[in-house]
Amino acid sequence: MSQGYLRRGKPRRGAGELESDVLAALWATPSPLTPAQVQAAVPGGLAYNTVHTILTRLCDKGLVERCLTGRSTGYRPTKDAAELAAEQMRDALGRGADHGAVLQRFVTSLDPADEAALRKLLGDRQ
Amino acid sequence: MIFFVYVPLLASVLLAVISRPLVSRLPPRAAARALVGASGLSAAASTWGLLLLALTLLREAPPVAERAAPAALAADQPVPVLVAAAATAALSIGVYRLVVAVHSRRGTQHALQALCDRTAAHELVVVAAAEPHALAVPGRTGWWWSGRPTSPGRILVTSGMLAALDGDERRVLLEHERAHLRLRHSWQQALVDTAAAVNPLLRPARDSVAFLLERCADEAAADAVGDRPLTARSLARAALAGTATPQDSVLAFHKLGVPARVAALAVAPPPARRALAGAVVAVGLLTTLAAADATVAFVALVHQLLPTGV
Repeated sequence: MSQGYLRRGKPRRGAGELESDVLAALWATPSPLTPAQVQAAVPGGLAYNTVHTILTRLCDKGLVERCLTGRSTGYRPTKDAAELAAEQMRDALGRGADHGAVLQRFVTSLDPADEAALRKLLGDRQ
Repeated sequence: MIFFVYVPLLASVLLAVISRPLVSRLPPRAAARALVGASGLSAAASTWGLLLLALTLLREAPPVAERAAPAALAADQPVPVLVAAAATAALSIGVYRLVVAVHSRRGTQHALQALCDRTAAHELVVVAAAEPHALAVPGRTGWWWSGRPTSPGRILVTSGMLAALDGDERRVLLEHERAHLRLRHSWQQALVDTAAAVNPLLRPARDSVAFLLERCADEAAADAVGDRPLTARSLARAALAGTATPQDSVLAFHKLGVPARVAALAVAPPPARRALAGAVVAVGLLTTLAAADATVAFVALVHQLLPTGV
C-alpha cells in the first residue's frame, strides 16, 4: 500500500497519539511484533528509534510486555486488564441501548443492501 | 397567548422536516451547530409554553378562585381547561423522560469512564473482545463545586475492531474518535438528546445531529490522514466487521448510517451557506420570542384575574 500521501498529511502528532498508534498496531496482531515490524505496521513513516522509545514507554506504563521471539525482542500488549474490561464494556453498552445514540460510535449496524454496497466499494478499491 | 404558546411546537415540526434535507446541504459542523442551537431553543420554549398552559389550571384552584375578580372569572377562558390539562400531562411526561434520559446518559458515561480508569491510564483503552466496537469516552469535567478529579477524553476500542483494520485504516479510526473528543461532540449530543426527551417532536433533528457529528469526525479524520477514499474504506471495513454482531441503532433505520457517510466522503463537502444556517437558528430564536410574548400574555392574564394581587 502506498504511504506517500500520508507524509503529506498534517505532521503534528503528539507523543500520546503515537503511543496510541503503536498500541493499536500491537493489539491488531495475535503474535508479538519486533520494533521493525511495528515500524512497518504504523503508518506515517516513524523512525526506528522513535518506535523503540515509544515501545519502552508503553512497557513502563505496563500496557505492553517484552518477550523473546527467536533471536530478537518482541512486544505484545498486556491482556489481563483488557480481558476483565470486556464484560464491563458489554454491561455499559447494554445500558445505553434503550436510549439510541448515547455515545458516538464509529459505526452502526447495516441492512443487507448496505452491506452489499459497502462490499462492492471495498472490492473496487482493493 | 394561545397562539404564541403553540409557535415552539410548530417550530419543532419545522425543524423535524428540514433537518434531513439540511444534512446534505450544509457543511457538517455548521449544520450540527445550527440544529443543536435551534433544537435547544425550541425545546426550552415549548417546555416553558406547556408550563404556562398548565399554570392556567390554577385558576380553578380554590385559593385563587376565592380571591379572583368575579368579572374576570366569568369572562371566557383564554385557555380551555382540557388544553391546560393536556399541557400538564405532556409536561409531566416530558420531565419524566428528561430524568430518564439524563440518568441513562450519566450511567453509561460513568460506567465507561470507570472502565477506562481501571484498564489503562492512556488515551487509547483496548478491551479484549471479538466484537468490533470503537467509541469516544468523554473526559470528566472538573466543575469547581463537585471536587471530582478531571480526566481526559479517551478512546475505547475492542481488539476485534483493531484486528479488522489495516494500519492506515486504524489511523482513520483513531483520528475519527480524537475529533469527537477534541470538538466536544458529547456536549452537543447531550443537548439534542435532552431536547428530544422533553419534546419528542425534535427526535428527527436529534437523529440528524447524531449523523452530522459522525460526519464532522469523518471529515476531521480525512483531513488528518489527507485521504478521503482511505477514510471511506476504513468506515466500510469497520461497518462490515460489525455485521456479524448486529447492534441497535436508530441511525440505521433512518438511512443515516455508514453508507450515507461513505457516500458523503466520495464528494467534496457542501459549501458554507451562511444564510441557510442562519435561517435554522432564526427558527430557534423565533420560539424564544414567542415564549417571551406568551409570558407577557400570561402575566396580563394573572393581573386581570387578580387585580388586587395575591
